Amino acid sequence: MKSSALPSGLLESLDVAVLERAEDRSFTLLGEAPPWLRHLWPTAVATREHLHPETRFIFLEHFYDEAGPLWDQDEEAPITSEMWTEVDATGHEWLLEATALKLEGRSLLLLKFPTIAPENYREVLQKSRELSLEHYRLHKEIDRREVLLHCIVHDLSTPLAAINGSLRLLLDDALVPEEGEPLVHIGLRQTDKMRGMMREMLEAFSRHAQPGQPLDTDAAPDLGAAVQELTTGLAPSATLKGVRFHIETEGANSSHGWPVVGEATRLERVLFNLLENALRYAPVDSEVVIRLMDEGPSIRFSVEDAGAGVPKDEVYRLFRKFAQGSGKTGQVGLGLYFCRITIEGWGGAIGYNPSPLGGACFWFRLPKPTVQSH
Amino acid sequence: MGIIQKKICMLGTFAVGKTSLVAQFVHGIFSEKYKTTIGVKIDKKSLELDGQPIELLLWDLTGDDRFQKVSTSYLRGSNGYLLVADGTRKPTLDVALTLHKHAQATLGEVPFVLLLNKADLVDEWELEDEDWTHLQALGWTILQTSAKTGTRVDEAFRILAQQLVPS
Repeated sequence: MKSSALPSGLLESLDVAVLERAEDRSFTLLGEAPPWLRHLWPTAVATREHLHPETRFIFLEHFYDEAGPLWDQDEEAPITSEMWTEVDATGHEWLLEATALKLEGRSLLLLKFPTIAPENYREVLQKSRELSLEHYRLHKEIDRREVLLHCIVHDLSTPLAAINGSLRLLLDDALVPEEGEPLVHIGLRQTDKMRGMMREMLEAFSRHAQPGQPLDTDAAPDLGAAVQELTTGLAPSATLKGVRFHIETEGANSSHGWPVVGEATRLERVLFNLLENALRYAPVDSEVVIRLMDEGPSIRFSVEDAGAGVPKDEVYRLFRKFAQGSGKTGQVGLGLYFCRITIEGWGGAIGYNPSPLGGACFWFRLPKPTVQSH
Repeated sequence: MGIIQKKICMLGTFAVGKTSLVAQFVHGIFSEKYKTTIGVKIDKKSLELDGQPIELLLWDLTGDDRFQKVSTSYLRGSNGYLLVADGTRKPTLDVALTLHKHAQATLGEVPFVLLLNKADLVDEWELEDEDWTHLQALGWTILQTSAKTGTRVDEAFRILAQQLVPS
């Protein structure tokens, strides 16, 4: 017949140290000591009787405030302490907890590892807090860059206002020969647009603005007309560089134009970013090809240049905030990001492909506005 | 003269430098590596104040945050506490002020000192003029410490210990 007594070594294998409290409030170690106790408190294992665990584990002094009444008053419901950490001579940390209970009139103190796996718990808590710190750091970095952006945009406004004012004076005071007036008008329109763009850029990157939200929903902008106007505006710069804009269209009915979902001023900014990029990277005496394609429910725009294209390892981050090319042309890296949040905000898509011309091809697709019956 | 033993709790959110302050004060060491504290770690430091030997029991509590809350049972029996905030993270000061209220509710009016830690990174501090004005108006004992360089660490613990010992 098998013995009903517990097998010896059971408590040791469970990593539990069991001590019994005597009337003089000292403790006796029962059974085999688990390995961690032998490591942390070797003298107790040798002595076994008349022990005072609170002299080795200071935390227990605090726990006795709760455990004492349980032992003294015959209560049987066990009490478990909070966790505490013991550090050994090698710096290794041991996470422990204590349980006080009364069984068959005997006052017992159990010392053990917490119920949850300490290493798993520590790992999760450590990782959680590290991620929290990293999140805070990144948030601060984003704030710093937004401040920088605001400062840059703000500082650009002043010289732009001066240019705008000077051009107006030239016209108002009839200081420009007649054949030069169209060029001055181009300059005025562009500076006016840039000032409008700056105002909207500040709004677009403000925390409270919804990216891509149309500011003027009265009329769907005409993509074709916007492209024409911009290429006219950029013509002087293109001419200086010997670059030609070539516009191709496919499929649209000219009487309907190229209406798309969106808002005129922001759409012009998207186009300006893409066209100006193409112009910047186009080699001297080359063509920048612009294509508009009617795809039925949507219209596709693309612009290609014959430059060097985007290196393969930089493509993945093209449309992210603060993405700068390896050339680092001094731009802060927000143009393509702005294009992306605007186009996607209008339900469109934007992307990049290497161009058959050898350079870069940027494209976007926007839905056509739905026709409303009157 | 018998040794007086006093329990001091370190209160603050995670990663403000509570463990580092204790390590600097007790062992004169500092580690750049962040290792989160679970539960509580207790250290002892013996010192002498005006000829009176004192043993400080330093209860280095886990940081109070959404992952782990500080149990008020740890505070029980404290003779005083050090509130710790990280000057480079302003929200940690708000947590320290909240923990102060909890501590006072649990312990009553026991001595405490507010430590604005990480003084070695003062260029990255987020405290603004209005924060300083508010802190000054509280009339508390406030020290700018650095567990890394040891700046005012010893002084902080001694100032608190002085308030715990009957004169």
